[in-house]
Amino acid sequence: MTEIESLDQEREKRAFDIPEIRRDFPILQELTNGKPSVYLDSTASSLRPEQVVGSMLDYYHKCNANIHRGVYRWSEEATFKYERAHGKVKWFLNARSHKEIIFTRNTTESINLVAHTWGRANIKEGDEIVSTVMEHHSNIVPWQMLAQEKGAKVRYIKVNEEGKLDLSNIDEIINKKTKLVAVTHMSNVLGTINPVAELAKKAHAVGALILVDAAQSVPHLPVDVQALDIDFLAFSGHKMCGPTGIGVLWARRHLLEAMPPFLTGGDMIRSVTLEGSTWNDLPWKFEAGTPAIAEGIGLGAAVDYLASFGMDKIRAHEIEITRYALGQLREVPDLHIYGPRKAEERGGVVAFNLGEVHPHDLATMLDRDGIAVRAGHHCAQPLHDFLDLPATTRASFYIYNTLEEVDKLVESLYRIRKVFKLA
Amino acid sequence: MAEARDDLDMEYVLELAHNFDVELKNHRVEDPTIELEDSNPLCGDKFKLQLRVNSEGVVEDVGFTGRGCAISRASAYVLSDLIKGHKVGEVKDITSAQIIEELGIEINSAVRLKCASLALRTTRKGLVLAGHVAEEDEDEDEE
Repeated sequence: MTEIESLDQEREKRAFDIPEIRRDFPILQELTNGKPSVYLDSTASSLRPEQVVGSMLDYYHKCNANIHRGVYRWSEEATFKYERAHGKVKWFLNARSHKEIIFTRNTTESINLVAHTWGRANIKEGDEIVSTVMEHHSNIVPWQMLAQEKGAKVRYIKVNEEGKLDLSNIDEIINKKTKLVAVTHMSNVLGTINPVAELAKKAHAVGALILVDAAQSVPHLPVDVQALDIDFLAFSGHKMCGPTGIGVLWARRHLLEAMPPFLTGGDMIRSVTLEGSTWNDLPWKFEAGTPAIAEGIGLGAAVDYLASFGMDKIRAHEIEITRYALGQLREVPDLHIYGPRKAEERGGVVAFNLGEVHPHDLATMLDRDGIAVRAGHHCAQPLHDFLDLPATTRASFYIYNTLEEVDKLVESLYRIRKVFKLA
Repeated sequence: MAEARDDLDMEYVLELAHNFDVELKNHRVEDPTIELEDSNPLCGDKFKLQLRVNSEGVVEDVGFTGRGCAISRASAYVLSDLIKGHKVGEVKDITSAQIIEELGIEINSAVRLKCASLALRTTRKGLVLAGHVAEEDEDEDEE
């Protein structure tokens, strides 16, 4: 454990140079339908640089073994790499201890973990859980299920016309019946960045806890769990240049100590007898069975990759490209953009509609031009119902996207307008 | 040039979708014998099917009201053409592949395949519910 505690963050520092960054992603050389690939769907899943892929291959090629048990070389190396990945994530979030970093499969599993363990033990009949209409289903459904089971109630903060949370009656919504506020840090549809620190204060003032869905925020801006003063945070590796199949739950240590385990079996125990079992230390108490070892190591490599540029530079690039995109898109007739007007107030995710053109048709036409966007409701049906939209098309930007790619998107939209005979 | 041809393909689909808008979208069937609503919740396509089947088992009138993407509307239009005036027994033999061929475009995405087959799935369900055909295991892997 001392390896992790004393981890020195001497990282290779790199300039934020997009052409150089793009060379780390050989997949960008692939053609789509005979055209250069323009990947504008990082909000769904990001691309992964060679450094991350390489770290996983290194595990498979050089120290492939199960972790925590073996006394032979490969197992020790694998264990060291896997545990060090926890330390890297701890550093990345500015958490107090690696004991607060639990590796899961993804954001959804992290949130479910809290719902099933902390939730079941603490939510009672008549309690209230506060969510918002802009949440991803993963931060709605577990709370609905829990509330149903316990006879509790879920309340939803609404959004205003700019796609920001309507906090006008927040002191009525977060009240002494509230036990948990579950809110997204950044909307995966509107790009809205929510004031989670402020909501944390409101929650704590009434004795409630706050869980933050950071699936979109951790990959795109600096997140400091101590500064935000929150209680639970969930995110996924695959949205931050890491592999699929790995996610993180961060939570305050005393909460994790008190929570019963989630999945039980091997690795999360200290001793097992026929009469009963005792639990392992944190974070292993919540990591049952053989984990996704290569993926955990890959997540550590992803942290290193992003940290080599610095999250502030990554955020600055995103504001620039989003500002440019919003400006260009606003020129396209019949194009309606959702979410905050200013790039500084939102992440690099832009949901829009082009006249009456169905998002599926739009996305199909863009695909023919080699451009990848997403169409549908993006796992946010309540938000689309609330905004009275059947569906939206969504383009999102990340570290490897360029202004030229925005131009390509806009060019295609003009062409598509002609095909659909929009005036 | 591939690009131009792709646009032409899509233009035909759009033409069919436009025909849907003109002829079917607001067409209410009188005295329907079958009514069923179905949707692709994942993308917001939603159709209400109305069929009037006469005593001889012939489909006299078809109505698809609702909203959807161009592909789902075009295929609903194509389908309505294929079943109007035909016996219910023939309707159940219509395949997604047939409809997609009528659309004249290549559909490579599983997601868009669902759009293209929504009208047909709804119709089949309606016929099963009304007892006109026996329930069959839906062939998910139908090419």
